[in-house]
Amino acid sequence: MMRWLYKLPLRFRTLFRKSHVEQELSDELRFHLEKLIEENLAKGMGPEEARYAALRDLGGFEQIKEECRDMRRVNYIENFLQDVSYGLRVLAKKPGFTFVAVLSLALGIGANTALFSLVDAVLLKTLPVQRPDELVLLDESGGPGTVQYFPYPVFQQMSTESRVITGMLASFDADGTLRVSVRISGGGTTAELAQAQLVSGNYYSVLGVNAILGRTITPEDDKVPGGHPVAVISHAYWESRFEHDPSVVGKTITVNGHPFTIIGVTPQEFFGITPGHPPDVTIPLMMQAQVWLAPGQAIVNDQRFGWLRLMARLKPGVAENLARAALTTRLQQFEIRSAGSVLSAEDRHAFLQHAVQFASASKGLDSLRRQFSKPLLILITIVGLVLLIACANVAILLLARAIERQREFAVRLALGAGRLRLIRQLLTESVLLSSTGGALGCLLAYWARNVLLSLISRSPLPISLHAPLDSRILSFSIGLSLFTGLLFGLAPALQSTRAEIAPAVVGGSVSRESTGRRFWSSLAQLLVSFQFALSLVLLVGAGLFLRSLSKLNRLDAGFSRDNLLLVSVDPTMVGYKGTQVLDFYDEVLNRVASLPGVHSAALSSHSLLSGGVDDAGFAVAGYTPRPGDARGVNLNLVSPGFFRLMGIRILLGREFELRDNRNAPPVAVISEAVAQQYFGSENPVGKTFGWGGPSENTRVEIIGVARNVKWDSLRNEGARIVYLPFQQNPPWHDPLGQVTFEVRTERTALSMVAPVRQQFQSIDKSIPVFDIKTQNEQTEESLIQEHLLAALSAGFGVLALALAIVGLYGTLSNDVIRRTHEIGTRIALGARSANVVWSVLAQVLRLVLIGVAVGLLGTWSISRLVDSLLFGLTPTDPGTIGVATLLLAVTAILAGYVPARRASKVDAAVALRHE
Amino acid sequence: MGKPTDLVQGTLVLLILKTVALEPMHGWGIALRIRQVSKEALQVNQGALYPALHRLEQSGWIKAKWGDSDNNRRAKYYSLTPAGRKYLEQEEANWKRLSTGIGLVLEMS
Repeated sequence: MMRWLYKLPLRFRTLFRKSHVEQELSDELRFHLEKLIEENLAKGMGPEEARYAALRDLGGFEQIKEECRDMRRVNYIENFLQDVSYGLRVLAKKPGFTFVAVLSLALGIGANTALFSLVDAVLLKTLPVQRPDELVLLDESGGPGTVQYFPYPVFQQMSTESRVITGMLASFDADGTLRVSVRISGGGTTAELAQAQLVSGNYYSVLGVNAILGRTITPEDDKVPGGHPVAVISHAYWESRFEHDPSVVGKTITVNGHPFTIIGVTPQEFFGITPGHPPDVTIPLMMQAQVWLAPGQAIVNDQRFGWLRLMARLKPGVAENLARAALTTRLQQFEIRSAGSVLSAEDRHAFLQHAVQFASASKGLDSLRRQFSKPLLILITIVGLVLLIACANVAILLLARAIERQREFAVRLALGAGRLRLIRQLLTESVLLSSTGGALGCLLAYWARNVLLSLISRSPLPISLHAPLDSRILSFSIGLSLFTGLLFGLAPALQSTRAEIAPAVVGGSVSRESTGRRFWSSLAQLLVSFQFALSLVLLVGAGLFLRSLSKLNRLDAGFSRDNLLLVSVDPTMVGYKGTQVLDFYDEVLNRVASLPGVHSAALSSHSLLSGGVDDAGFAVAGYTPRPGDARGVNLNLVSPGFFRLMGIRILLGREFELRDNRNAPPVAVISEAVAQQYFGSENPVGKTFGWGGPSENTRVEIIGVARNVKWDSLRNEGARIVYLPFQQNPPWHDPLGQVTFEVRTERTALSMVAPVRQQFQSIDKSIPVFDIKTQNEQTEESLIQEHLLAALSAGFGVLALALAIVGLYGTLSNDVIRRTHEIGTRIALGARSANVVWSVLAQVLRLVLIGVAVGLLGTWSISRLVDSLLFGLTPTDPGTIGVATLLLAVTAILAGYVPARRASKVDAAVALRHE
Repeated sequence: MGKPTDLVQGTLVLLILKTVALEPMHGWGIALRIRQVSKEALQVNQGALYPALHRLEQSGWIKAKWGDSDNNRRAKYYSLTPAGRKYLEQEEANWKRLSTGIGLVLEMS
């Protein structure tokens, strides 16, 4: 069928050359008319008579034209344009109404769009690589726990299994903990910190990512340990550090004291394999010893040391369990072979239990998802509720409008307009409202997203998310706008086009009641109650999160948090070794402690509430673990005077002194929790322990017991910590690199930032200072989730309340107008203004009561969602619910008072004449 | 001669298609031709003719072209498209079947 060849151009002509087509239509009909006249003349009629007869014969000229137009079937487009322009005029005529409606929607849609962009970036988006669905992340199960980090030789062994995989990559450290000092040649001498990642040579080819400038790392760049000083930089780093310099390829940067040549820049959208932790600099694995751990400590050939995350690309068409089995075989073979001849039958059996497990890696590593999926789920619920409230609001406003416009529609219906056509007109108006709201919402979202990102990025490990407002997000908010427009527009549209022509046209009075009107008015009130219910849920949620946060903040952490400045540095990054490092620490401690305004200074390998971990074994003769006992301890290397400075009480024995240096016998202070678990009621001071492991025979003497402190999180009780003097770092432990100096200041800690930083600079300019912050800031960072939830839920709770109040106000005002006649009658019959005010307020209270009843059910139903994020209270905390209810009721009554006053001022005479 | 019979719904389309199948023709011509060929038995309602023409054009059965008529006046000439020709054949067959059927029923008594 080639009909469309004829049809299509016609449609276009009709649409875009309208006047031309109209002209042709007139011409065609006039031609016909003239022919008729000619015929009539030929029959012998006079000119006038002939013309008249012809016109009569033809029938209505305009009517034929209209019918022809109908045949052209593009009317709906024209009608739509008409509806839009009419709608715009109607909306412009009521700027107040339009403003409130559009603002409500803009806030609702904006909040949803902003949050969706975050949800998209954290939870939904797949890696910007080729065919992300084929990627899997490898774990090893069957041992004491799940192993996520593999030794390099294991990677080599498994990555060649080309029957089931098309490639396997290894990377360290995708979780964002590998920070390096970078100096750019020609860019001054100050070192800066950058996020680094070590990758196998096939990293980019397995992912299918190409450089936008230069080239990426290839297998040729990853062959000889220490032999490939090349680096690929990210687009963001290129932008911020090199200002898009096109000649960046070939430049040299110094990473942790070693020169590297930049060979390429990756695309803007590529953020590595972990959302939230994009690497600035990517370096071949073979260069590990140059940038990570002490120089010369090469671990690439270590068969035991697991440090690499492995990701494989499965061969298309190969079943997953087949691939898993093949890789498991490789793994077991390797483990058995590397154990060599000492392998016992039991060990062999244990090795054969080990198996490779797959986790989908299409969205990359999941550290960010684990951290934020729950808060984001709660927040998206919250903004969803806010949007519902906004929609209810607009529906209420539209209902009020519809009642006002009933006469207009009655007249139009009487004049023969189709009901469907009117409904379409009204829906066009509401969609206009919602899309204007949506457009504004997108602007709002842009701003709100930045606020959200900055809130999220304040977590202990800096998070930088790539969350652009791209086409996905925009189509989300366009869809949302259209959906909301139809949702809240439908009821008013149905209501105002009901065929009740006669009374509306004839009566002409707004005060005349009709059953339909009363019904829709109660619908509006129902919507208000519904808004109250949702607002109550949000207010209760906000109250719960705020109170949890404040309880956590007031919690006794076991040490004193005020006036404490934390400075993190790592001298090993720029080549300090052995005793050089310790001397540097000593010098810093001396210099900083003697600064005016500084009370004292100490250092520790881990600062409290920084979220870091450092596990160690702990072996005490005669101790047999009870079932359920936790194993191992956390290690913290500290300087003499640390406990005094931190305000951690020593319960038994003494704390470290200067005499506990590297030549003295090894000593330790243990936390209450360790003492409790390993020594029960005995006094541990004077007893000794070892580090476990077959070849370890060091005995460390316990010289004191320190009070429990919060270690990784304020929520966790009784951290098991073993403190050692930093001069006595055990030989099996990593050499002391990055440490944090704790500086107790006399006035606010922030006032000492500049002088303290200056001391570091004056000792060695090339040492990068990681981080300067107060202990209070660090504590807040450890509460990032709680902060995020408290701040946002409070903000949205207030917003919800404000929207609900607008809805209430609109409904009441409309109701008062509707009842003018009735109120006037009552006043005429002697009702006092107080009675009238009370009757309106009683109505408000009724709405609040219904709202609260429904809202309480709502809070109960979401309590399971929030329970795990609360602290020190239950989701049904009566105090919080009481305060939220009170807040709701008081605000509602205040808002209801204005229309109530207006009602009481109704002039009886005017109201009655109104009829 | 009595009042010309109004055309049965749907037959107008058939008549128009058949008429323009011979040669391109304007609206007036089509009406005239139908009247003449049917020996004044069929009177095309002018009010129905033009909407029908426009509908057929929009459906792609016929196409239109402006041309000169007598006295150098411009008129819109309609002619069949290939699809229209097929459609006409089909409709003609249908009509013949229908009228034969009706004829048989009427002759029954």
